[in-house]
Amino acid sequence: MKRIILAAAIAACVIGPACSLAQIAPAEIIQKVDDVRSPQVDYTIAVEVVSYLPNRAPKAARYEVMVKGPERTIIKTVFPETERGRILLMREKDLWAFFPDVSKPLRLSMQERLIGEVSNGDIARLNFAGDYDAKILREERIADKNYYVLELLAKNGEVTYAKVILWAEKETYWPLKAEFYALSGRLLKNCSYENYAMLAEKLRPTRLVMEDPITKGKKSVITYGDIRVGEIPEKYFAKDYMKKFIQ
Amino acid sequence: MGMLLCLAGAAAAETSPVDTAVAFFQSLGWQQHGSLKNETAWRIIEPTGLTKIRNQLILSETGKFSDQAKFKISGRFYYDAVYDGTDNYAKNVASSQKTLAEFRDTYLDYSSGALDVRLGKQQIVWGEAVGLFFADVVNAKDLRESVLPDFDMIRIPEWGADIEYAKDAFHAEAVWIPAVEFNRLPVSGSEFFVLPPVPQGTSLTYVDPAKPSRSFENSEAGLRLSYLMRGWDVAAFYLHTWDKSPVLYRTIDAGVYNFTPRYKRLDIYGATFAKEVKNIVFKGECVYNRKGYFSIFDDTNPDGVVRRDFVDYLLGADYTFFDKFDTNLQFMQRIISGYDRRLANARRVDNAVSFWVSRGFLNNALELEFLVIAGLMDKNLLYRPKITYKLTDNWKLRTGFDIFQGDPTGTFGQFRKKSRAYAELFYLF
Repeated sequence: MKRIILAAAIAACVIGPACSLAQIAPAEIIQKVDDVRSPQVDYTIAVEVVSYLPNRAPKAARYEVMVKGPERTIIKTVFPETERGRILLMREKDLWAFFPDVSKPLRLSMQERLIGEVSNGDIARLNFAGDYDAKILREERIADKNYYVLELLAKNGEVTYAKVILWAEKETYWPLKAEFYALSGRLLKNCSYENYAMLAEKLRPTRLVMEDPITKGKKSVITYGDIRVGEIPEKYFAKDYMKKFIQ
Repeated sequence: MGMLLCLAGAAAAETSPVDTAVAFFQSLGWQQHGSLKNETAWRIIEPTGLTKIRNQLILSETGKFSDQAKFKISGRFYYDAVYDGTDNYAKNVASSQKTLAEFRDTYLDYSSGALDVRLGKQQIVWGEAVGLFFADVVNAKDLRESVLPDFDMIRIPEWGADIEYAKDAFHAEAVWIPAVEFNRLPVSGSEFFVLPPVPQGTSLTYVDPAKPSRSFENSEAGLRLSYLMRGWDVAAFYLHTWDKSPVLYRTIDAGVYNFTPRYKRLDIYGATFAKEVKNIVFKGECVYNRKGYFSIFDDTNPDGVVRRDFVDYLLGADYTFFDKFDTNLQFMQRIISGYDRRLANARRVDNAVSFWVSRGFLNNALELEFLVIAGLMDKNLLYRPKITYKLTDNWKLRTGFDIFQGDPTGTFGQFRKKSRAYAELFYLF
């Protein structure tokens, strides 16, 4: 009898965690994380990015971001004045930039620089579920909460980061932090998701802190502000329409 | 109750008509922006000296009348003190370049469903090339400083209609320009004046060309179709236009070349593409000019002009190295059909390359750039190293060199004695 109980206990230790891991597929986890990070409807949101360098004054930029589904984003620069009028358009995995002193849209890659530690893909591309294949590496307990630790591998070479290690709370699917890696395996950025607040009827992270893993004090902070939910015409998300956003 | 009504009435009367108007316009999203800029340039080849001390003001008002109708009004004013402060240029140059006051982009946008219309003074920009005009053929250009100014200042906005239709990945654009503009060319004695092609040691006379009258028959029209398919951004266009620079018709009298240039019609066909593959953006442009005009060194030719079909094409690639260095490499070629060796300053096949690199520091507050454009056949070069520093959120400083090298008959070599250093200070608001 004791052997049966012991066997059952051992089995529970093995099967139990395996069952909890198997209860939800990794792909479903990251879809739920995406749902937390970003409303799954059309919306316009104010975004501020502040970049910090050691021993230098922080540099701020403000944007108006329009999002339509997981693969359509427009980022309009509204501050500082030296960059006002610049517009980025992301459509699926294609990116264009409009510079007022050139007056035409230019095709860019996601790697090209935006500001500080934030690349174009950090702001324009918010789609883990569409861009990555996920698997659960382990679970961790942090500050009395249980987290999935997932490894996200890029489905193709057209996204900004080849690999992401993501911590997502088991109960709420709130992302806690992430590590972003290049194809070479080099750690590019550490990101933490902070300041959960109501945005579009759901608690979402309103502050992302992206840190350079090598240079202490070098980071960028993305803060999400006023949000307006409402349909945005599809034609806005075309490169030929970018010149219509008069500023 | 009476006292309360009096107080309420008094409170209402305190809102002045000006405040009411301001509040009304703010509710429509009307905004004012602009810039103040000083541009100073110094020729670094003997005879050295100041070539520009220009102070420029640009003002713009943007806003909307409704969700469908938006507008922009903008103007540009400048005064170049080099013409009053130095004796470096003759009066005719001062007349051409000392002052300017003009409307810039000034238009009304109307949007309805898949249709968008822009009416007014505007820039219509086609093409994918970086740092060069290739398929960018619609607007006339201000070439009084060659191709050195910012491109939005080189293009001359033109009064016209731009009608666009967008459906999913398809886009169609029809343009009509009734009030045609022509290139503003440097006058004799100015820094970037281009001598008409004459044999060495030949005297010449030149009569300024008359511009075609503004009429429906003389208007310009074009069509551009584009499609985005699996990341391929492709477009094709046709433009019935004018050669924006006058064709150099000439007669020869007792060995003297007498130029009587005229503006002539031109038909341009073109295609462009862009595609990103593994973080490399490939782009290309091809422009076919049907029966373009060329000057010819042939004394038996009565007017010194022949017509030839020619094709210009460009292939380029953009890539960011180490997440820090933005680069662009472009190869360009012109092929002239029915080539004649006597064509002035032209080869049957002419090749050029351009290379641009940019690196940001201090969170991109400091930007270092370098552009070189090189004619491969005649080793003509233009180097443009540049530093841009954003001093504050509103102030920006830009400084650099424009260095020309090569054969005196080449595109850039003809300005080899005009290489310059410059500094530009901007205040944007």
